[in-house]
Amino acid sequence: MTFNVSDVKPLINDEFTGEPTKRALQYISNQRASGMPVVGLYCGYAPLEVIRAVGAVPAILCAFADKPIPAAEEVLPANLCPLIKSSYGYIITDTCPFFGLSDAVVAETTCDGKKKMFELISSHRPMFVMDLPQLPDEAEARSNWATMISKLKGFLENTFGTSGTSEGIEAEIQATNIKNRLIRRVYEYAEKKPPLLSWQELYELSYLAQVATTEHLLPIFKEIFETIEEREDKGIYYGSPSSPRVLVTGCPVGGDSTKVYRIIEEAGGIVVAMDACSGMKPFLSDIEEKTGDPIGAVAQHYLEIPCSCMTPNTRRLTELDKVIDRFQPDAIVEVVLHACHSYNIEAYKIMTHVKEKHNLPYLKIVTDYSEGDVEQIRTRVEALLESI
Amino acid sequence: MQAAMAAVPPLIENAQIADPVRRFLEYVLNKREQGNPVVGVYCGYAPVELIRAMGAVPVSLCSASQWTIPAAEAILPANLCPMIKSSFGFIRTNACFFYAASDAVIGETTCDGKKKMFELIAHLKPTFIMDLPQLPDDTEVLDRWRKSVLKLQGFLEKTLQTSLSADRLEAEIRETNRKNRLMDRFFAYLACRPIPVSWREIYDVITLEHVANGDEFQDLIEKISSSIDQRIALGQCFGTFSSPRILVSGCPVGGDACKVLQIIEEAGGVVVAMEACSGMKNYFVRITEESSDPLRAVAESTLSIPCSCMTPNRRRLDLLDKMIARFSPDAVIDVVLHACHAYNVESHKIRKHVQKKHGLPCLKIETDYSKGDIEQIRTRVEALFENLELKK
Repeated sequence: MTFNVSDVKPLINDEFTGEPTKRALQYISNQRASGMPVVGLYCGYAPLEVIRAVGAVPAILCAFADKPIPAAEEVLPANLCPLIKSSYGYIITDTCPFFGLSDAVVAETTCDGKKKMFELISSHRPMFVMDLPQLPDEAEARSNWATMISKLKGFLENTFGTSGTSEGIEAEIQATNIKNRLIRRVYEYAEKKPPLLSWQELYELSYLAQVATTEHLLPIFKEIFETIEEREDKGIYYGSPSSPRVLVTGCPVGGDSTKVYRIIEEAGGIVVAMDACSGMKPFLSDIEEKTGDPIGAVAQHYLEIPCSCMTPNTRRLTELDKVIDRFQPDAIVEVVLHACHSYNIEAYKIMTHVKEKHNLPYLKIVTDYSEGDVEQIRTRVEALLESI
Repeated sequence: MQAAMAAVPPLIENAQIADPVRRFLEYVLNKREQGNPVVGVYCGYAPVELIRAMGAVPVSLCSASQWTIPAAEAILPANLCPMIKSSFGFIRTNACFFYAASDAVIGETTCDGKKKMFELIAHLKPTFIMDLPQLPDDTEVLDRWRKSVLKLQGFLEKTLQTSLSADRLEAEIRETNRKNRLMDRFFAYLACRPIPVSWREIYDVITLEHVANGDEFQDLIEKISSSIDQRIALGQCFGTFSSPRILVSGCPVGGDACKVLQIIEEAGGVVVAMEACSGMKNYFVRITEESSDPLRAVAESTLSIPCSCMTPNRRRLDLLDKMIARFSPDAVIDVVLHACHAYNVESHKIRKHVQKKHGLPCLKIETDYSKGDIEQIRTRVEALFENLELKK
């Protein structure tokens, strides 16, 4: 799948085009060189506003490659989520540069595998594990999570010898909202038929936006909008008007599992929306401003992330409805990473919902980071797209 | 080994001990006829003292049969813990009598699989899911869990149209402590070498505990104790003085998973302790009596259960230290049910701890409820025992 013309100017036009990890690494290295501590993260539940308010820079730790998995399997079971095995493998083989730069690590009790894997790496760095409430609709969930976030703030302050203020968190909330609104404006161009952006471009933007501050992103956004508007003026689009539009939902997809996106494209489809936390999920809503209780507002916002670790995760269905309405997909592909029980079981609900409410074809793909199942996935994706 | 026991009279002369499940069933039916509501539970984190204090009967729901798994796999992934699949399959095929008899069901967020499976059954019965904190050493954790227990009380009051008195809860706390102390008298015999009881008898006693009140259980334990004393006096024992003594740790082992215990026995070993919550773990708990806040005491006791869903789960290592010191096993077998990530990942820590601190071999067996891996498990257990022999 390509643009309809050649030599299209990339959305983020720098020396790192196509290499979001290297871009993030350079950004974080520069920040650290200027004296900022780095906080390694594994998950979208880590409250970025609090991390920034204590003067630290967040780094997304490596978790998406097949390469370190054999090393991990010497300690971890083979029948485990590849994201967890990869994360652990990176650490024991000392090959994650982001972990190398991290002065502390924040972790959450999102799933059984991560929770227990964190125990095995807790000696490598100062680590704070957050006890995440799992019933988001209960009255106490917000106050319990707010308490956890306050404790995280205390941990970061102690570890770095810095301090964060309420005003600082409030300012970060407002900065996040500006960023999220800008990203959602970019998404509007993915809604178009055909879209003006490729999945790689959306993926790169998500990656950078989780790491960089709004202040640093503003000039990049300016260029991004100029580029997109130029595309619009010139009639440049991605794929073709008849390409089936695919919404990809489920587990985070990055690195070696982006094979699924490639296969969808090779089969003639275009990925118009990626609703996982590696894609659009972190940017779809705003944090309430000027509440007088910024930690409470942050707690509320993060608790609303519709991850399958929540029960019941009704918000995922309502969010999915919105994404379907906006991006008008012709099919839904759900990616479940091997042995991720919560997404795997929830997939049944998603399938039923998508078919009954939206009458859309749905395909669940259980996969890992290896290349072994590429042809099998291809056959299934081709069959799906043929049925449209 | 079974042949050696054949001549030995059963622990108690009671027709029903031959079929503890039947006895359990009759117990539940009787209670229901007397007007007591029934509350189905899946896990040791359900505060049974609270349930009993509200006049209800807690029952463990069916979860340990291969038979219901194919029906479950029509909806659940195949790569999932057999206990979760079996539980769901029992409900889907309407085959769990205890579930049918339940007026309410309690679930907990102990693991990913259960948490999400509960969503698929929550509409069938009044179901209450408890948000279980996962960091047991955290300062707020007890307050958080107490609140969940309090909410459960509210749910049961509403659903069962009953109420709780603090006195009644205090009485149930004393009852549990009394039964747990009595159980400990029985467990003391497991420390004997050679061991005078079989693993099946250990399970029988545990099953009977579920259907006995304190007085009944006291009678039972006294009868059992005199039977065992008699066995010891007559030199009757299970296995021999030199049979490898095995401590079984890990996931709950019941129903079709008992194949592991059977294989240990057939390979010439004796099971001297079962750490899992299907075995002895929960009986080591003591609940604080006569505190100003019995609900908090109950919350504190359940929270102290060293399940692998907790992080870090140091209490499991402490418990293993105590059990190893008390029951002197020659090896530890860690049973991990297929795809149970928490126990599977924790197994690495357990093996290191058992080997380094106690100098004991530790064998991890990953299994499910099928029969397919019996010979493979047998080979590994036999190899373990041969190694023990070589070290002598």
